[in-house]
Amino acid sequence: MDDMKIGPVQGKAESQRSAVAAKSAASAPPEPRRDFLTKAAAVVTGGAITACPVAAGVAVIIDPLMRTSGEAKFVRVAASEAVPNDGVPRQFPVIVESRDDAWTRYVNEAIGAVIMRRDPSSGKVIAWTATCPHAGCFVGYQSDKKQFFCPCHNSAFDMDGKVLSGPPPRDLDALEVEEKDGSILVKFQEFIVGVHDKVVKT
Amino acid sequence: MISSIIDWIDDRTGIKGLMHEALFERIPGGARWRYVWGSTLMFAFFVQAVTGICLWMSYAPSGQTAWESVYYIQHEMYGGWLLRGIHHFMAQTMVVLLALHLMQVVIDGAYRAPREFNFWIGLVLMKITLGLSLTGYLLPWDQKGYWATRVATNLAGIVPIVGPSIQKLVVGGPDYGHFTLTRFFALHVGVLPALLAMLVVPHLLLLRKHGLHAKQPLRRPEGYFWPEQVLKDAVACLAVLCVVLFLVFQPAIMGTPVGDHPGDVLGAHLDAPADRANEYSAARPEWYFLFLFQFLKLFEGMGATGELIGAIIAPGAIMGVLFLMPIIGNWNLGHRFNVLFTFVLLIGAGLLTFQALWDDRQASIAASDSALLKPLAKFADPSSDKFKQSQAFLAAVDEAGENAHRAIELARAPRGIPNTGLLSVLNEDPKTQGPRLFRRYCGSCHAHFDPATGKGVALQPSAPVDANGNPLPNPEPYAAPNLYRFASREWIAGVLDPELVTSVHYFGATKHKDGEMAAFVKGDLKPQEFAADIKLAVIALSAEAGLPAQRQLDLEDASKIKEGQAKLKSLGCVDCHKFQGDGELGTYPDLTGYGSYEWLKGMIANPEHPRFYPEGNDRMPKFADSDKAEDNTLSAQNLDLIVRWLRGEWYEATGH
Repeated sequence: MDDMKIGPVQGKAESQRSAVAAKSAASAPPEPRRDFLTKAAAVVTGGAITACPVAAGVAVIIDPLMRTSGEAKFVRVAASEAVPNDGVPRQFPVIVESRDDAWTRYVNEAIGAVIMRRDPSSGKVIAWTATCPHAGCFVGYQSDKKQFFCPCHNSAFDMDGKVLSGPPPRDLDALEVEEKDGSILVKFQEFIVGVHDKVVKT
Repeated sequence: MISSIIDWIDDRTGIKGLMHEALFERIPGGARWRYVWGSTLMFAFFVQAVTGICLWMSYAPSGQTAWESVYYIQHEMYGGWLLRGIHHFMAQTMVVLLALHLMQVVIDGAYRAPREFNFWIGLVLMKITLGLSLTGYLLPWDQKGYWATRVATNLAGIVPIVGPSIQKLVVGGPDYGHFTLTRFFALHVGVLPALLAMLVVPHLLLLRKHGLHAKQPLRRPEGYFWPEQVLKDAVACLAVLCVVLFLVFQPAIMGTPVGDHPGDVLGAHLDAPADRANEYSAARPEWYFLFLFQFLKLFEGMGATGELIGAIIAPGAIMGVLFLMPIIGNWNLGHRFNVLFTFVLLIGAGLLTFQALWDDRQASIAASDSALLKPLAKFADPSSDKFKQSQAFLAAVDEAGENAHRAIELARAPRGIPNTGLLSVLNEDPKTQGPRLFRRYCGSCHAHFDPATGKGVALQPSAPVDANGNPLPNPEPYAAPNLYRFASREWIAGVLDPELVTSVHYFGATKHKDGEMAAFVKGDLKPQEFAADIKLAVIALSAEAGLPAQRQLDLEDASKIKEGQAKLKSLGCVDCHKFQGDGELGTYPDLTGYGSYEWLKGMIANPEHPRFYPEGNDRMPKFADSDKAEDNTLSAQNLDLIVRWLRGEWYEATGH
């Protein structure tokens, strides 16, 4: 009897415990395995709501890639007599009527500089952009050495623009020149620096 | 009461457990100084976030406002120099702390399993920090940051295929402009700090998960993070802060007087505003990037391939080895390789940095009196090219310093900063533009330097060269007068001095050397006999110019001027020159208004005008003789600037 009496009490506790277990098992449904459609819908919806703001942002970020600067025009840089006949080079700023930087329009602004010298035998003007083809600093003329020199990485060029020493991957970038009616006009372009080939920046 | 509030919160959040876990982290072998580096970096990041957000509140990124707002923070706002100084120098300190933290982790072998991921996260955090440095350097939009950062972004362009597009995206267009600033700013205050914060969390969580990597052998019994290690960390952070504050206050500590504007002396330097038309050739990256800058020079003569290796491939390979360290560390001797590699890297970077500094500054080191630098002086060779390049660098740095000073002077001038930005003021400032224009248009014939000191903006012009750039065998004289303080009493006295009139400072290298004026000065003028008369004539003629620097003198000498005007006639000047009612035009320059604004403008515009040298002009071009503006070599604005600069006519701050 004693055994019998104890038994139901134990049994009651056990059944209570198992009831709790059953309840919790019932409240947590088995992990889904086969509802592919629901998963796909969740992923697509989640992806779409993420992609929308990202796409809107990226579109604006890549805006500069969508724009190309138009074909370069000839710009008047100096009067003919400003480049002497003896072959000494001179540097001139390239001033354009206007230049746009995003929302700001700059009027009569220097967009760069050119170095020009007149070949004493032929009298023809040779022009280079003053931008060093190595890393984009400005080169200057060293009269004591008769060379062009870039102070950023100590690059030197001879009077024909050929690399004498230093790291530049190519010679100074020559520009197209026109001389008419007492004026020198240059087709001013910028080139990608640091590479072997002379590629126009667009 | 307080404990019951804490209990109430703890019941709902488990805060006590979290705090306990955070503070009572086990430290095998007890607290040690070598574990402080991570905490100092967290502290540095915290300081940068706080000071950065406060700077943000006063900063406006755009071409016309970036420099201007930084100027206002640095030079006008209450305590702005301190805030900016802390931000600036803590950024530099952070790079040093990164190197120390990396060294400690590598030496201790703390990258080994299972800590590989944390090591990698740390390396990414390092790159982000360097990215923050690079982007931050541009934001003041001053000459130094602008030109140094241009070099860095140009290097991005050499990456094959995608390089130019990457460059254009980063720069925000084909060239530097508003979008470069807005993009760098967004990276500096948004993207990079967010990435950093996002990665610092797993960095710390993984540190806790794996426990601190204790340095063997353990010296003491196990300890806890709180309070021993926290105290050591706090003391280390205090030391870091002291270093930063020392750097901010360094000029004052070294004895430079601090006036009403502490920002003029203390804290981070601000250069003149970025000017795309005037390159700052002495622009250098921040000192901790100098080794990369110098490294590029090692690939001289290898062209584009060398550039690619130096700027992209070699640094990439070094980062690659760093990333592979946890794997290399598992091999035999792998750990020793890693330690050796790190040391070679740091020593190499140190040597390259030293080389870069030496290349740039050997001329000043050679001249230094400091006991520390003196022993180095013997390695400098004043006749070498490198020494001359160093001199040019230092001259450019000096000039940049003057430009920066001038920019601040003009920003404070009564006119203030217009809405077009300070650069538009600088572009109209004779003191800033004069030397540039003079060198460009006048400097190939005229000099402009003080004969007493030999210093000035244009030294003696170069001798002419042939087609190949070789000097001509018998060059024609090629130097026009030195225009330093033109038309001042000293200058005019020189023309009337028989010793000086045919020197290179006056007519020595022109055909006037053999002309009537030189003959008159050397002959009829008789300087001994008429010394007093000549002195009065000089005073009178110089007064015609009305130079601002002589205004006071001219006022005091009104009666002498009157006398001198008579002497100009009695000495015979009016035999060849016109002066007021006497003499005639047609051969030599008009002395009426000699050196005045109108006179100089006319002379430069057309030296062959009847008022100047209708016959005897020696090679001076007509710079602006046409009615059509586009046919003139000098624009009206540039002509005005050159004339005003020659006359010393510009705004100067008073009361300093």
